[in-house]
Amino acid sequence: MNFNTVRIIVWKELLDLWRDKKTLAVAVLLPVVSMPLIGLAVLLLSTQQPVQVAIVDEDNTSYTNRILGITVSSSWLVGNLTEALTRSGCRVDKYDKSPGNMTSYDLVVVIQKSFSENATSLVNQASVEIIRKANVQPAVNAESTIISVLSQFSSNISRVKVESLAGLAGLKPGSFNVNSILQPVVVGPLVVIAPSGAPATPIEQIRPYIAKILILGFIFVVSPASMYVVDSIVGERERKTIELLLATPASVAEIISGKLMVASVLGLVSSLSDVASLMIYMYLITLSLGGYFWLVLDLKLILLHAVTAFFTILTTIAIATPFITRTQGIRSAGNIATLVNMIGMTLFFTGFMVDYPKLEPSVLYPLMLIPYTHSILVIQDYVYGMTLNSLIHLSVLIVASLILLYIGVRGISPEKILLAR
Amino acid sequence: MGAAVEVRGLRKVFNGVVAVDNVSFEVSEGEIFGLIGPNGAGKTTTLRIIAGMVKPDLGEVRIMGSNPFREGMRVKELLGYLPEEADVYSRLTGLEHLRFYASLYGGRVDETVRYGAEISGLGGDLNKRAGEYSKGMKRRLLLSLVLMRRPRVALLDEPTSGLDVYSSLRVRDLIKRYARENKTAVILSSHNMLEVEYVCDRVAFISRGRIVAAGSPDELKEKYNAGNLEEVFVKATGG
Repeated sequence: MNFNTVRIIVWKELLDLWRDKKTLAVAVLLPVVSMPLIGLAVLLLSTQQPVQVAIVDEDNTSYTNRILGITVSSSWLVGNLTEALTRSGCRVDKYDKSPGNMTSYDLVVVIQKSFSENATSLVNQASVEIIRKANVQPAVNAESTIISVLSQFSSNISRVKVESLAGLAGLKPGSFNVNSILQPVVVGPLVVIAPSGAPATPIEQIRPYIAKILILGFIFVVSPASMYVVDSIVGERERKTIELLLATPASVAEIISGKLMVASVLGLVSSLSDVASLMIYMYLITLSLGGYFWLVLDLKLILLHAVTAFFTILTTIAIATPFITRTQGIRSAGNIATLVNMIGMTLFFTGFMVDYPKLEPSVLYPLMLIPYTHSILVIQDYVYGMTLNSLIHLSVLIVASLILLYIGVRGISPEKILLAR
Repeated sequence: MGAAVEVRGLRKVFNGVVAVDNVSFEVSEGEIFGLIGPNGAGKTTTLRIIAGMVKPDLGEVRIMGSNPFREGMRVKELLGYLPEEADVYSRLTGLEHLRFYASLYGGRVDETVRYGAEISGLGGDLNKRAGEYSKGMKRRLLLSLVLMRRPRVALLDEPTSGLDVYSSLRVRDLIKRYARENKTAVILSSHNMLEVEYVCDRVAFISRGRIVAAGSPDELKEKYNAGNLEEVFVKATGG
């Protein structure tokens, strides 16, 4: 391969790309917009699906236990539940008895008869029935709110009961602690440590989270690069510019390599844009944590991410290229590129959820046959403090991408490009 | 004069359809040879085989004695190939096109670009993006990309296809003048009989992948007792 020829191809492609402002804009904006957009869309849409809740107060009484001298009213619980549910966006209807058909409600809370009496009792327990529709996620959230309110309500009654019983037992105020009776065992101080063993600072605690976002960001940088390759090979055939180029002394391997390199550069632009958006994200986090932005900013991690992104993209397009060059139109080539991207996306999404260095070897080693696993491990190993392992995985990724590039461009002839079926 | 291009017994079949069948001819240095036939006759496939882009199932091609499939790099340096319906990069200027293609071939790039600019006749328009060019301007730019290196052999597939009368005349004059000045062997495919009669020294009629008649326009007209090449083609193909 003549590298001067590749350089000339790269120059032409870069010039063409530089003037293609729409493609550049998509490459830069896609990562910046995608992640905040996902969060915003989920937030906005989740508030647009209010849960219908019915509270049925079958008890509707107030009861005083004369021995303990405490009073409980079911209407207090109704009031607490209504306030908490309304605050979390639920629509609440209240009934004294069951209105019959309850299917229009996502969740029904039934305060059963004798609730107040049982709640003040030293013998019985009061109960609240919850009827929830399956497969309605917001109803699950509402259920959590109800359980939280009930827990607080129950805790308050327990506290009053204990204080009252202590008085009946002749214990003087200050000689006992209600908490030591209600919760004799609690979780002690929780110490989070960094890979070095020293207590982790809040900034160190969010670094794995940042790493996971960086891995998720690979999804948004691979797509524009793949689409660029589709356009620069199949699109060039459709625009009738490829045949003249194939007739020059530039070999198919040199032409394709030049195009793939520029596609990777485009991916790198996306990656840098991705990192820039993440830095803004980190800046906001440090503001909320009261730390310093420059302490969070890990330049080595950013550099590692950029290099990993470049070779991840090169791997993707090297896998897709032999298939792309053999397809007839942009649509089918785009489908193939999407298929390869999907494999990467699946793994990157798992990289967002799973700590790969913690996987069992029997699971991790087969996964290492897929180059994207090394992309994930480069970032995660670094964050775990295993810098050497991180560099080893980066080396494997680089070698794998170059081998795939060699294999990818080797079997392509001008005839296959021109006469693709 | 020696043969610049030798084509012997070419055959190419695509999915059971014979595109080119037993095609043979020779073209001398400085000669303009016309390959004439209707759409789908096998002209483009023949030119692609000569250019080393498509491998023949049978037969052999020699460009100045070299085989395009065994000595690809040498042949590419000797050859200039303008594909049918070739187009330009719309976001690159005419001058950037000339520099890009000249750089791929190496040698005296600046000199090549200057000559390319001269034969294109596009003047100041070379600084405009090629996407703004008319069809005729694009074709002249493409032709200059092929000819600016002064290739020993030029393959021009339908060089005036889709052009208006004035643009066609300019392109034809450019080809004729260029071949004479540079002693370049030109193989030109067309289905425009008048164009071929005006430009070519010798022609071959190709129909359904086979050459049905070959010779100079005058020889063919005399042989088939025809007033023009259209009549020759009709008589030669038994139409």
